[in-house]
Amino acid sequence: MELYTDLIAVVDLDAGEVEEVDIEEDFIEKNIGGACANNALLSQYPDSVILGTGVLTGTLFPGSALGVVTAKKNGTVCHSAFNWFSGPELKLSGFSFVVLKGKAENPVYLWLHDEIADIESTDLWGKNTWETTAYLREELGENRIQTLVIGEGGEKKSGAALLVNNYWGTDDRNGLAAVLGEKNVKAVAMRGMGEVEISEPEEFISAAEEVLTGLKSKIQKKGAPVEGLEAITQRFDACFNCPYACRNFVETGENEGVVIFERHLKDLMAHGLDVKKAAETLQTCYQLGVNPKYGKDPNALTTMGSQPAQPLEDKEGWYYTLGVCPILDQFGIDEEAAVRAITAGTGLEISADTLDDIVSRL
Amino acid sequence: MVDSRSFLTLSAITTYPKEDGKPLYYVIGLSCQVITMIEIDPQICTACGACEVACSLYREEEVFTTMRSSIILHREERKNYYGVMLKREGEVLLGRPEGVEVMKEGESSDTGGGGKPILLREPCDNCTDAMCVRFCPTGCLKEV
Repeated sequence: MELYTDLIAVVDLDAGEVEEVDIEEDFIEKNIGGACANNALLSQYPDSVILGTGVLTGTLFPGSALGVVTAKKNGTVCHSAFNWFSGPELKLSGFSFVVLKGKAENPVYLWLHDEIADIESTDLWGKNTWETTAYLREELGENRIQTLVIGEGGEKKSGAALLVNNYWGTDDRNGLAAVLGEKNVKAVAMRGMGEVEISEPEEFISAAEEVLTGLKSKIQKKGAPVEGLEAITQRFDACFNCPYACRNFVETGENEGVVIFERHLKDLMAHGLDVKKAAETLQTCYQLGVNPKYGKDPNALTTMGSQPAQPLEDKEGWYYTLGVCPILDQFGIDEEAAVRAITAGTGLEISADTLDDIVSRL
Repeated sequence: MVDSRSFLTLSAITTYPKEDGKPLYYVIGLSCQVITMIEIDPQICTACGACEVACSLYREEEVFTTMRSSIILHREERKNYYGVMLKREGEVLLGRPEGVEVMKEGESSDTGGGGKPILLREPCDNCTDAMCVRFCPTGCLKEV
């Protein structure tokens, strides 16, 4: 299937086995990808955690860094996004979607690479997210491996648990790290050496370049500077193929720092911390895998009770289905060009109305 | 940093023989070939990696991958130290926070293990209207 690598990994954690299922064209035509496709897989495999990529994830379409994790929490289907380079690496690992069903008897991590999904027993339980990522990169021999990892928050099934991508917090607004903790999954490691085919490359490139040109004309400033952090902001980083470098790397010590997700920083400031203290605290939150939305004491956040589900807002469902970062919405993405990119990339006849209908099911 | 080169190339000497085998005339072909090269400004790189996918697409034409590119993003994530490496014929252009440096084949650098994969890649073929430049969102890569 064009714009996807070929496989869905159905990981049976009870049995310690992986089934590889081909992605059918009909499945993409009906569900497009990302959150919508995850929903369909969750219906097929209830009580699972689904990791999925959007139809444009990992392509030359601007901002196509997004992957989506989906699971039920207190009976409600919840979606959380992960980006940086993990969406593209998941797709290029050969598995555009991963279903985690059942529960491992003992802690495991999943290693996705070269169309192989390995379930590995691990004694990483109890390690913080930074230690875990460093260990996995060393053990698996690649610095470019992307990890989705849980910390103490996820292990203790805290309502404030936060899924961490490598070292930095994701937009896991629904505490789905705790659902991974319930399944005894400490981490998912991904490295992609696969290929994603394109149905009509020239048309796809034309649409993607049009969107990029439009975005560049609207992104006027360098990065996304945060008031009060200018002096300790080392550089502005971007997620995969994104023209808006909104991820500030803020120095918190010698040769050390934290990539700021602005919403998390603002949450800490709303709890009364000054901006510099908030940046330092955020680093601890990410190490422990907890969401600062619910408080300013990272250690207290590791044992918090269940929190209400946070539904997708505004156009987020559309972005979560395409695999494009919704932060770009403030600049106005050319939706007609996006639909053209999907059509040219997949070879499927998908109209804007069809796409909207599918997204409206979320 | 600027590495633009133009060459006046003696491209052909063609002999058209007469029936007795002696040359009738010679045609000397001259052509002016402009070789486009890529300039890197690492200070404005944001490590988005678009260049890798774009270059790979140029080489493979119908797939997205990062595995065919002549340009590689190098990153040490905890320190947020990053830059790009461009494989050229017989050398590697390193664009990193300290500046831009050309490493000849066989020379060692302090890029550690991150520099090794580039040695396995095809060198940049100096294509024009380069995809890596077209899709670089910051202007970190330029054709010169």
